Amino acid sequence: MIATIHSFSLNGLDGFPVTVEADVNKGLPSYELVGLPDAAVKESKERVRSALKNSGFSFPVHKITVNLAPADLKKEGAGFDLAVALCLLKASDQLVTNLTDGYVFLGELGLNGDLRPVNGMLPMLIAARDRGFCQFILPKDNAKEAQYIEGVCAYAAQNLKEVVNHLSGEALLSPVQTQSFCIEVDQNSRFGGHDLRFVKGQPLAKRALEVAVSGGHNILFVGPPGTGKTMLARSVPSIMPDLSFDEALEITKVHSVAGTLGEKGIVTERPFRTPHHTATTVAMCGGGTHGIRPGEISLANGGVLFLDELPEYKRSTLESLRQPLEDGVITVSRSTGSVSYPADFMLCAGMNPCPCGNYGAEGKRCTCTTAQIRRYRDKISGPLLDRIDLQVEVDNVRYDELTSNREEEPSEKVRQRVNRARKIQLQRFEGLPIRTNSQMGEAELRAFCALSEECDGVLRRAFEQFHLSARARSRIIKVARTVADLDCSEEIKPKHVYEALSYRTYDKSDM
Amino acid sequence: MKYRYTAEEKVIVWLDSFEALTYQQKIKIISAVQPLTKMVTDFEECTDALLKIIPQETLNALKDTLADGDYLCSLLSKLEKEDIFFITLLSPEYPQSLANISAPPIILYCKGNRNLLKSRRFAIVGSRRTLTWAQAFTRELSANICKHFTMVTGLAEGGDLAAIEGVLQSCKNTENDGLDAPMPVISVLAYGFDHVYPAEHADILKTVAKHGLVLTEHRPEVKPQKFLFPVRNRIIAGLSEGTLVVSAGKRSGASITATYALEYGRDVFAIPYNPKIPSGEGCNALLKSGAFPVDCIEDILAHYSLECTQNADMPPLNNEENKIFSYLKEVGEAHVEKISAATEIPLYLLGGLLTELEVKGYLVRAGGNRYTAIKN
Repeated sequence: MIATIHSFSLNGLDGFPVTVEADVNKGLPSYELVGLPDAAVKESKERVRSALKNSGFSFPVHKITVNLAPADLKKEGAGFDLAVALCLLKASDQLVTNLTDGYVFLGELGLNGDLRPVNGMLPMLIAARDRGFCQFILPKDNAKEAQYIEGVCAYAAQNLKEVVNHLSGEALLSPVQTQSFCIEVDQNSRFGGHDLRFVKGQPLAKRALEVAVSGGHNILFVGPPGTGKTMLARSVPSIMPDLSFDEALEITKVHSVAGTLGEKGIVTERPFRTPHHTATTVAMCGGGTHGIRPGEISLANGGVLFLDELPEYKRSTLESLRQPLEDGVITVSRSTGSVSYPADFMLCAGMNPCPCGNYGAEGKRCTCTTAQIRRYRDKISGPLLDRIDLQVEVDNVRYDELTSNREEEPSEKVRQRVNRARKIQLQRFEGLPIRTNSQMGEAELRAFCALSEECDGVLRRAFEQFHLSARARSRIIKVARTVADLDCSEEIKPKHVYEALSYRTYDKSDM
Repeated sequence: MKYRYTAEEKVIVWLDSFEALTYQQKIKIISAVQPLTKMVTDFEECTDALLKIIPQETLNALKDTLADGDYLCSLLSKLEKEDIFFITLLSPEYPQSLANISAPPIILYCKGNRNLLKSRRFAIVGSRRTLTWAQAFTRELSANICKHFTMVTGLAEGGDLAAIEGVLQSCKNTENDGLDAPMPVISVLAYGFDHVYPAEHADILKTVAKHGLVLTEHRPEVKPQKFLFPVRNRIIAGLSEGTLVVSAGKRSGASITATYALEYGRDVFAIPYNPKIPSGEGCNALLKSGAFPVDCIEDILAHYSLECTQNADMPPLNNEENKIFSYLKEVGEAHVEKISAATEIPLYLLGGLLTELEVKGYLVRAGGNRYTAIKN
């Protein structure tokens, strides 16, 4: 007898329906699983066998064929266990019901029949809903991911027995209650407790951060070790505009696929990713042996990618960031297919001014030769540096500043100013595919950043004085636009240009 | 052939082409064989005298190349192909001040404007690690001095480069803004013309060779080597009436140049530094032993009874800028937070104002968010 059950699988962030078919025939007992399964799917046989036995059912002693359709797409992961088990029950007449047709079943089975969570539940649910499925049975641990999706009726089950009871009508499961999205209000636990008011001193760097976040610019901190570069970077999410539900869903999708979602079921804070400098290109951009997993840049989507000790990263890894920094999307192609993940992140990087770290530090002696310093800085290619609009020096904090009780400005206040500046930008770019100043191209620059004669004179002088490159010009103008937005000024004034110029430490230095 | 040389000059370039001959041997040969042309016309007669100076094998090598008629020709054409001309110790053009030193180079390979060797010359030297304010000051001094003297220096980064840039700047500002305007600068190399060190200064070397003069005592194929640099410094000192040391560590090449200058009886100037600044220790040591302190251009020009031509007017400052600038003039160098506290200008405005002053040429960034005033 043949039975069919609906399940779902993922390809990148997009899902496709999978029909599980089982045929139980008379003959020598055997079990055959077809339909391009990977190792984890193949192993489902043993899990299903034990789960059935331990839930009070029997594993049919017949010639069994299980097919995962469509047969030409690769299936990955243990998410089909539940569907396969139910299919076998139906085919061997241990479960007699027609109800199964209306449901999509997702979940991994334990040997005792318990349902275990699967990765990528949220994008699967959204994709399934968009394809017209509306009833789901899923593991209890995945229930939280379902509760934010409208138009979905999900039932969360603890184990196989509960699912069978629900379907046979003995004991109905109650559907997961939908919840509206809200952001945690407890200020102390938000952003992992990171807040600008805990960063002592560094007013210049803080101001630069504010400008960077307002205009969506990337930022580079240059300073000796132990001056607070990391602390500053960690507070970036706390001054970024609050997440909207759509953004949160987009971020959650990636984290759900990667299995880094945690208990909450939805991401309520902007991600902050700090891959170590030994990270490979694949770890950074996505890929891997078991399917194409999202890389760090996709996990940082909507948030901050912090690269500490920038010159220590492998050159090829850094260069691979260039294209996603421009496009906000990364397409990873392998022989098995290609997958696109979002990668719209703010790059925040830290580095020492020289190999010994003391170049330019007060009261410390740098032991590096100029050639060494140049080599160290040359590790970061010009094109990458070009995409980092703000370069700021972070210097040593004096001891009495560390111990002072002076109130530093909290992130909350800075965020208000950022929100205001972002609003101005949204109005400006209405109808255009861009949202922030940093995304402006040549056409937008011409339209929105007309320079007065005076400002042009300032730039001309600065170019001669600092030997700036031609491409530095448009970046300086973009930053000046953001500074003007923070100032709520319609036109770019010379003082805005001067401030923008002050963030180009690296272009100016003669090193 | 583009360049014409006397027979004597040809003999010297021929002698110089032998790696086996040391400087001492070459000098001895030049003084022992009189006239020097006899080396070519009647080699056999010179052998006795030569054998007192050089071993038999070297003598044979010399003789072999004499038999080969093309040797000298190819030597000369190779130099000419690279646009290199040479001046020997026996040439009338050879600078008198250099001939007077204890070990004058027997030959100078040159590229560029030979007339610069007839002008008055002044050397500016500094270590590779020169602080930003010192570099800015050097540019300013150099731009002024080059109106009266030809600037002599090396090609390293830091002090040397600042001196060259100063001349560049000053030439750019003058009326005849053509690219072919002569640039009064001589760069002395410590290696042959086939090489450039540091490699990233290839462009500057080209510019100086085109509009100024580059010279070296080494054959083109000689590679840059550590020990050649201090030896080169005697030429910088020897060519110049005076030497200004803009920065020097305890044991830096710049101090060596100054020591040569003292030895040759030339004037030595130095920029005074605050105590305990590593790149100023050499300068202060020179001052202690009697060098002339320089804290403005007049200190040098007055020494040579020259008039200082006034620079173009600085762009005017507004109230706030003036406040910042006068505070910095008072304290020398300060961190932005200190400047903010003293001037009561909020920090987020100060960043822009400081950059404005930097663009206008009043300040330089000293690293670590500190700024220094460079005008007085």
